Amino acid sequence: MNEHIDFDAGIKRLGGNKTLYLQLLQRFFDSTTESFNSLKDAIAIKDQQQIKMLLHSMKGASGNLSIVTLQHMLSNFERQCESFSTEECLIHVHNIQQEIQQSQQKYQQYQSLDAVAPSSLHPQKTLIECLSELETKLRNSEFIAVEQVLNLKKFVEHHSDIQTLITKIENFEYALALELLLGLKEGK
Amino acid sequence: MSKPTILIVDDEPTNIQVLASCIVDDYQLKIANSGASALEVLDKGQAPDLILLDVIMPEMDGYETFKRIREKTDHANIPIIFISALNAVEDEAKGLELGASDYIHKPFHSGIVRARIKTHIDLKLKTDMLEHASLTDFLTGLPNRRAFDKHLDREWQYFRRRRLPLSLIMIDVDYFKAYNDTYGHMQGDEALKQIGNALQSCINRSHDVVARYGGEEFIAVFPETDISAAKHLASLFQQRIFAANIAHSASQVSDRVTISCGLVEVNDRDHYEDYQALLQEADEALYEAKAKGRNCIVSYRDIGVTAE
Ligand SMILES: [Mg+2]
Repeated sequence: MNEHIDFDAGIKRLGGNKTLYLQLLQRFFDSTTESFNSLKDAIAIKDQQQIKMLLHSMKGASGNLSIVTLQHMLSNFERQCESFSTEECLIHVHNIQQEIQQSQQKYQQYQSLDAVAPSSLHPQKTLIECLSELETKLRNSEFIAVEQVLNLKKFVEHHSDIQTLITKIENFEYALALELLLGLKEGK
Repeated sequence: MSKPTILIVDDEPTNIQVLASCIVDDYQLKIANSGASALEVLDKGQAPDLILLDVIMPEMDGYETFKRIREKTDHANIPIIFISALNAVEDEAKGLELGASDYIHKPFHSGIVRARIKTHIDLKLKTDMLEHASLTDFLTGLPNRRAFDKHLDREWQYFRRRRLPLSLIMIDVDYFKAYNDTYGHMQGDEALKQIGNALQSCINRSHDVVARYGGEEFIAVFPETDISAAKHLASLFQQRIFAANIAHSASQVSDRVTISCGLVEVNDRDHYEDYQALLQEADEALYEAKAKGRNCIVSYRDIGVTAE
């Protein structure tokens, strides 16, 4: 029985790409703190539309990553949030955050059992080459896979702006990413 | 053949990643993280073969994005599949009533996603092929009359906005009936192919179009081209046809196939109701060129001048 996370279903949905799946899970957990801060803000000012939007978005993402219990809880919350008082909303938020912690533990256990596959780095590529490749893709709004930004990670120590660039690309904020990238190229 | 292109529109990065990983091997993928940026992606570059559109997005939701996409004639035929975690039947019905091709639910089942996308892509490519065939002249491979009328209509709208001169050249093959009588219809078809190639070889800009208008009649439109430039183009047509050197013993004007051309220009001083009047005048100019003995070029504006 798969409590919290159905790893097999999640990996299958990604065409068997386990490395990508674990990366996406990590990113999801990384992003939840911010999502919950926004959610609490929205609850505080009773912005029903924003509450629904945030719950809906998290529900979609957790469903697609097969974080099953969480998806179920978010789905229930989304359905009933309009009839809840602020206090009831906050209790739900608390329960959901606890569930996230448990899911995250489950994820960490699973990950430690499994040695992370070596990533497909291209050590011969220079920073300028990596940036030029990405620039073309960003200009054409082409899909950039997680693996493709891995190449950039080794430059992060020397250029802290690169991490911001990676985050923008991973969030598909292409217009902002392009702006940042052009700035980096200028600065070189 | 290059892979078909799919545009994914979703505000949630995880959903984009998951969806993309299901289909990235089979398609070229473009990404937009909002309705507004989807419209931007569509405005620049080539249209995708399919759009996967999330319903719930901040600011401009999927339904609104859908309507805005459909407002543009160039994008009216792109199939759109809605993607959403909404589970109510009414939501699905709303999407389909708007004219969506399909509706896919989150969380995705990768097999179903792939199969549905493939169905709609195959259908789109087949439709494109039929559309292309219905707009192409079988014999010469040039655009046919229907395609030309569509193109002229677009260029006419452009002219009305910009008021830059536009020229039309109507072309007729001299003594073509006699050609067929002498050499037979098979050879006649062959000659038309060569004529089509020679005319097409004069076209350099993407908005200039030469088409087979019917029988032995061809027609060309040149936006942003005044009458003197059009006269040069018409004489280039004549030179290339002459150089093709298609023997024509039954012609009374040459030893080989020649053409007559009727020209007309519309510019910002003119007040035409629509382009039908323009076609009519090009036809009259062509008639005049034939009356003057064929193998020549006549501009509609010059008809009155010579008559006076
Ligand atoms: Mg969404």
